[in-house]
Amino acid sequence: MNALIRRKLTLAGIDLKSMLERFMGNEDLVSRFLIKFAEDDNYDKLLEAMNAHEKEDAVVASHTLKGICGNLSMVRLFDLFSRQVEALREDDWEGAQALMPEIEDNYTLIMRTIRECGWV
Amino acid sequence: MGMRIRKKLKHMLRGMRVNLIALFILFLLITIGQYIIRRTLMENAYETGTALSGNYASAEENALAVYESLLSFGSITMQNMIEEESSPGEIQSWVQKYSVYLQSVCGEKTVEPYFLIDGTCFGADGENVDVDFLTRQSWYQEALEKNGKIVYTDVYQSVPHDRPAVAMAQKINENNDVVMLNIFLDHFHVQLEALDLSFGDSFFLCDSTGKIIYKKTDMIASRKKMQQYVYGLMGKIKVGELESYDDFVIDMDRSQRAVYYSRLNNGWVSIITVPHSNILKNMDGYNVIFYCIIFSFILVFAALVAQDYRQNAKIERINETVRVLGNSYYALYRVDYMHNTYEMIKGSDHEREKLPPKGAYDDLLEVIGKAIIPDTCQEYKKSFSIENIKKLVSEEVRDFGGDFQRKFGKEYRWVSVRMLSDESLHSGEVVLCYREVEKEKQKQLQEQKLLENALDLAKKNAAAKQDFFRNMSHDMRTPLNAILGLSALAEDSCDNPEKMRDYIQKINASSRQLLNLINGILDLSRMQQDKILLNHQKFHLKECVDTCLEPFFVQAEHEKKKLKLEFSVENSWIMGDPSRVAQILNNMLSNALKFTVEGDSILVAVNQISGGEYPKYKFVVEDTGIGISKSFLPHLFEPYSRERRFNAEKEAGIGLGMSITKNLIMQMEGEIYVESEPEKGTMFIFILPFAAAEDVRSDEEIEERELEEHSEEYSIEGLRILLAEDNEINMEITTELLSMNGASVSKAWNGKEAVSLFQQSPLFFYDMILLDMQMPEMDGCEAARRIRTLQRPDAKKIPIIAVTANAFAEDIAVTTAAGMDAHISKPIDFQALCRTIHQLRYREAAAQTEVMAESSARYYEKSDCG
Repeated sequence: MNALIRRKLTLAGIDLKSMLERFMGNEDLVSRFLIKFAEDDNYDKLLEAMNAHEKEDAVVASHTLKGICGNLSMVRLFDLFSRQVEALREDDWEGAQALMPEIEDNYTLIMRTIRECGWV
Repeated sequence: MGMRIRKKLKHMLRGMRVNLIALFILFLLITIGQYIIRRTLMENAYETGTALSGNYASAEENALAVYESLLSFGSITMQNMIEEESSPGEIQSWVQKYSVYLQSVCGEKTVEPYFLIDGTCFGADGENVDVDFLTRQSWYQEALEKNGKIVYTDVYQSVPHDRPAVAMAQKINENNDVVMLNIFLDHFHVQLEALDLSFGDSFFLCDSTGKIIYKKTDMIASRKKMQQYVYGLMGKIKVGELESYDDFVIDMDRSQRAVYYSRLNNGWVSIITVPHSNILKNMDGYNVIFYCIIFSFILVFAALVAQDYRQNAKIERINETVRVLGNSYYALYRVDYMHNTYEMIKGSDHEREKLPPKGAYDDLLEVIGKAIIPDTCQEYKKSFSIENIKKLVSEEVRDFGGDFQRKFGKEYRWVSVRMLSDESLHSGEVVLCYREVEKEKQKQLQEQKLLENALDLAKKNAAAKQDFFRNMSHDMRTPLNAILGLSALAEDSCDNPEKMRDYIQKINASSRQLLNLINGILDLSRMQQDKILLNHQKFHLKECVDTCLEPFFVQAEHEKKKLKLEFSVENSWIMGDPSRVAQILNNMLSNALKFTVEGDSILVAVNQISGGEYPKYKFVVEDTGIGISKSFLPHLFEPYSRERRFNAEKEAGIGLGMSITKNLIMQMEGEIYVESEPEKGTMFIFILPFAAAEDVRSDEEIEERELEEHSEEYSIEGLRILLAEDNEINMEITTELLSMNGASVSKAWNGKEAVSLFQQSPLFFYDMILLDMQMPEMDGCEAARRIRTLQRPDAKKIPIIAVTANAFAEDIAVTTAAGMDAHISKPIDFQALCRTIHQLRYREAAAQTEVMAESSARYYEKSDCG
């Protein structure tokens, strides 16, 4: 993994250091899981649920994404999904909805970065 | 008051009039009865008395007949003797015999016979009697006139004996010879021994003039007086005053007496007088009965009156209460919704002017409607229309109403209207009542406003908190991102040590910033829960202040500001919490440096202001900085507040420092003051009391032990772990992590699979179960619960760890309740996971000391989050 990729990942909101620590410095695992992340359909499920105002589905999707982002040290997304789960749990649908643009920005940035890294 | 009593009495009398009339009639009947009885008694007595007097008269006449026979016998015998031309001697001798005979029949000295024969008088004892005198007497003349018939004289005083007497005389022959019997009354025996008289009754026999011939009476009086009395009676008899049954005389004892009488053939009169008391003696019995009746009736009457009174009093009380209740309403109507009419029980001036006491309900609705504030009028009319009233009654709504504003004169005031329906009312009727509730309503509105304000305030507080958290997360993210970015840059700059140092310094600064922020938040949250503990120990104040100021001297120099310390303290060794003192000073100095610019000066002065066992110290932190605006000064110590100033060069802080500082000072029982003027500077003064300590430095304090944590290596090598996780990425990551460390992992994609995998496994096969909380089909909690209830020896003991992205307290409580041993949050900190696993295994294996896996898990989770 070269410095450029590291920098890109860092700028995309991934705490690469903690991620590598988690994977005991195994860089292959990093790329492997980021590819997996790109293939995961939970984000689509979240969008679908938010559009259809399906609270239960939205909570499940957002919660799962929170867990994944946490494990992959995507600190910004993790923070956003944490807030969204909390808002949904408190029945603050508007609050949850209001987070979507920021989530979308961050998610798109990470997806773009993963693509730019040539993994997908 | 008097008026009221009179009114009450009148009211009572009216209530009792039937009783009073009944009582009156009873009295009347009794009086009439008494009168009738009295009359009957009197009449009976009259008849009886008259008959009795008649009886006595006849008895008297019978007695006199004896005398008359004796007289006639004497007359005939004398006639024979005269015809036989008997000598005067013979006549005298016969007269004597005759006299003896009379005495023997009538009693001694009761009768004296006299014969006037041929101008000579023959008496019983042969004495010489003046014949001329005798012939001049009225009885002599009368006897001659009557020519053979017996005549009687009235009572007279017999001359030779001076005794009262009557005389009876008869002409013997044509020669005008006359026989006379002188009967002495004091020995007069009329056959009246067995007089049938009651005690008190009197009997008088008198001659035609009223002279008493015989009397039988209980009255005690002199003869003369008695005679006077009888004369009186006779006088009345003569003029016919005593003819009727109810005529009476007043006797000498001044009591009333009835008088009954009969005349004898010879002109005598037999009189019976009976005191009224004797006649009416029987009436006493009746009277007792009457009085009993009257008395009992009066008793009944009194009881009725008393009962009436009590009842009236009770009714009056109820009425009063009802009146008082009624008075709280300014208008009361009874509405007959069947006939669409109303009856005004009480009306407001406005309605009384415009409405009759009874009338059509629609008129009432119209009139009331006009007084109601226009925007409520329509609703009122709709709610209190006959149709709606009917509907409400049919729905068994017993109390219906609301508040509205109604015009009183020129102003609108609040009024409460109630429609009351009750089974005690006439069916088809309801009561409408109106009460003015202006004051209550105003109070209510005021309270509502207060509540709204309070809500508003709460919302503002919540918003302020929200703002604070938003700022805080922003504030946290800023240095964090800086650290991330800079460390990445530093890593890339290994070849340029200069650059790298710069990056590292910046990282260090950001880290400190972050640390300060987190410390502030933790302190504040602890303070809000009153959990801050002061760690009292002996310390040297000067040393503490010096240590604290050291970095600020460097900073001040760097920023070209003057920082000066004045320290004047007698007892420097004191008992207290040096870290808290340092915290307070730190906060004040960092503020001072924050809000000053190049060239400004900062003064820290510490003075001891009192000595003794508990000395007090005054701390002054004064700067010549930008100061604090007057409007913000009162909010200085409020949490989450910060004065936003566009001209402040630096980050204004998190708005917690002053709040924490004040809390700390308060907790140390100190005081804090602030003086500030914009553009001139700020001065904080705080006074803290401490306990004096001995001026000795103990070895313990000198040799500070550094507790280095032994970082143990935890191994999970060889463990068999059952992992349940629904997300592929997370599953793979965790699996990878665990297998990299030598554990073997069995995968379950939901709770159900986890349970069945565990169920199918040999006993004690798995060392550990990791369950994701949120999974399809069966979540982690349910799976844990099922596993714990399985009937196999390892089901209860196998450690179960919850893995979740949620670290809320309630989530942790749920996992504990489900029987899980620990809780670890995502993102997974591998070291923490290993520690938790190790601790759980250690606990299980050793089963001696209670290792609070959950709490330690939480600890790690916290430290991870922090």
